[in-house]
Amino acid sequence: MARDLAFLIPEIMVLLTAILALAAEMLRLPRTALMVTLAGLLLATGLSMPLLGAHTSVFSGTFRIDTLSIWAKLILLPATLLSVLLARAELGGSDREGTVYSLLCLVTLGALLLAGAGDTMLLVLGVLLSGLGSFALVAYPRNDSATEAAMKFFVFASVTGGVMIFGLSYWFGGTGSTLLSDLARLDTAPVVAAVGLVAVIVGLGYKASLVPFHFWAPDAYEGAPVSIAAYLSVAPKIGAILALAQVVRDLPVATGWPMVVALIAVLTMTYGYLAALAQDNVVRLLAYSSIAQAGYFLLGIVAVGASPLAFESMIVFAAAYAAMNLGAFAVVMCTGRTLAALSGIGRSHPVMGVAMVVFLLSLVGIPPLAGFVGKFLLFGASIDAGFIWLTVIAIINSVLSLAVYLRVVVPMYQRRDDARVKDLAPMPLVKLVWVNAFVFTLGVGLAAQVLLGQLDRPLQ
Amino acid sequence: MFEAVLFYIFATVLVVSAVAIITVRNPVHAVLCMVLCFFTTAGLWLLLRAEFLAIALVLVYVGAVMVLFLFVVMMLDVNVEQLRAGIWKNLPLALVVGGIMIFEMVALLARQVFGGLAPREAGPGYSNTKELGMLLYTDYAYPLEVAAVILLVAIIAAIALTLRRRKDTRRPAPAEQIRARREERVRLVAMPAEKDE
Repeated sequence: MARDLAFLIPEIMVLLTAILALAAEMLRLPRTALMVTLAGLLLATGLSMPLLGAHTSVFSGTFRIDTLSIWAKLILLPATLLSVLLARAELGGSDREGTVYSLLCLVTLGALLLAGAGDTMLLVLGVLLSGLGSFALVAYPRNDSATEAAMKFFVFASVTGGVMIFGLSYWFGGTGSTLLSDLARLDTAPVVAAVGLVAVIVGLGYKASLVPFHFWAPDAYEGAPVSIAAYLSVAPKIGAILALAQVVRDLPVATGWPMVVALIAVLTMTYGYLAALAQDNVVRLLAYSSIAQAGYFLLGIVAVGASPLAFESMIVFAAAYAAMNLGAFAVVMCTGRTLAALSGIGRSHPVMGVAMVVFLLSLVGIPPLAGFVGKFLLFGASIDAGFIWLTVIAIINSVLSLAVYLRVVVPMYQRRDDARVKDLAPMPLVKLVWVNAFVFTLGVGLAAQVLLGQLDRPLQ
Repeated sequence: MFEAVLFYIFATVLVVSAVAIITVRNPVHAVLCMVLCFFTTAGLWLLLRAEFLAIALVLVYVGAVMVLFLFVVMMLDVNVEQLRAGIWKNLPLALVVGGIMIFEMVALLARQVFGGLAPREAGPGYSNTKELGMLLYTDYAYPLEVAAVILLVAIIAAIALTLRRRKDTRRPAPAEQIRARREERVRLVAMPAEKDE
């Protein structure tokens, strides 16, 4: 027990942080809550470092301490930290500010659980934990649009969650165990395996906003505060994708999951970018773009078990995606939600303009930015796994995505209409976030080799 | 033999009460049928020697959850006719979904997919409660704690979203009243003396 708990120190730290932030909120000390949250998340990130290289599981295999779950901590905890800063800039001074920080920590805890799930029980609990907190965060402003967004999100989550639990019961029936490592026993029962697979894809697909379970995402992002939308597009999504990787790792290939995942990847990428082309609201555009990006993650998933690059590529892309997406949302927080609000920003605020262009080009996957490294590895992994047609479609979609992101970039550098340009309110915290994201997006691209060396080889 | 008779009695009551839940017109009666349903299920579980689950079902569901249900149903004053209005419109879809579910279950059960899972006969002195406790607090300690955190999140979320300082209530703020200074409340205005005409 003591040995197992030692491996869970980062998670325990996150939980403690959430509770301390809540206590500070109870005493009406929102500043203290903020400080406690930031310090706690930093500490938890630091405490995850010593775990690097570990490959084991705790509590009889229910939770895995491996490459995926450790790197998930190292990516999601700093991402949560940046989201907390964004939330402070946007929601600071509101009635119950401390609960936002606390809920952000708890949702991250749920995402971390998903990333290391070794048991179907933890899949369900992780989806529930990250879901419940998310609904409250989306509904936090309590105006009509936020409530509507949260309600859509909630109804969608309830239905998909129900389907997932129902399907997982088939896996339990088929294997007599809730452990994912026992899924190999499903070799002889393809029907049972298929029912469970569909259920898991529904349940995790909604969380990762894969097409066709993405309907909630644009509405929820639009109705929620921008900082919360930024957070939702990063932490729960990465958690769910890594959970899917944990599941398919043990699932017999005979169930045909690589093909199912590949088809969903094609749908997700293509639909996400096509829908993004039609948006005038930058938050909705980024929402559809984040749907499409989830499709790229699936290129790593189809390669699980077939390519040694699978886990590495997903981790690198997750880190890059977290940085560039948070950065882009942070810039949108500074400017405003419509494409019109962005016009002329590149000329009036040159540094921020350059940062936004870097984030968007990184989302396209242009070298030498972080997004390129991630996508390059993902393409490599899926080619390794024999999915060349999928890689070709992904590359075609990257070209399509250029059109999507140029729709944002072009107005930024249009000759500005001086009468309409208003000074943006200075937001030092938001600036801190996008500067950090900017440095990371550039830095990872340039130092890709160093980061790749750090990843330990996944055991296949 | 006696067990088989009991099983069939319980099973019949269970099916009849389950059907009654969705067919009776009065929602209060439906809830009461559901209570009966749970009770009978608990009986079935006792026959399977799962005494802990059976008692938990009676205590938690019958004792707490259903009372709450009953309370809500009585409070809400549901208009039954309105609820029933949509039933024919949604029937085809419901039949398709139900049909698929029945097909799936029959397909799986008919082919004996779950054949290897016959319950093991437990020896004397076997205690369900003890075994469950052992599993929950050793192998499944982590999920158990997470479930506790989920309850915490649910409470935080519910409070954060519903508890608010109402702006329209008129109550005195003692702190503000004590802090009030004369200068804030009284303004001396120099008025020209009125001329008497």
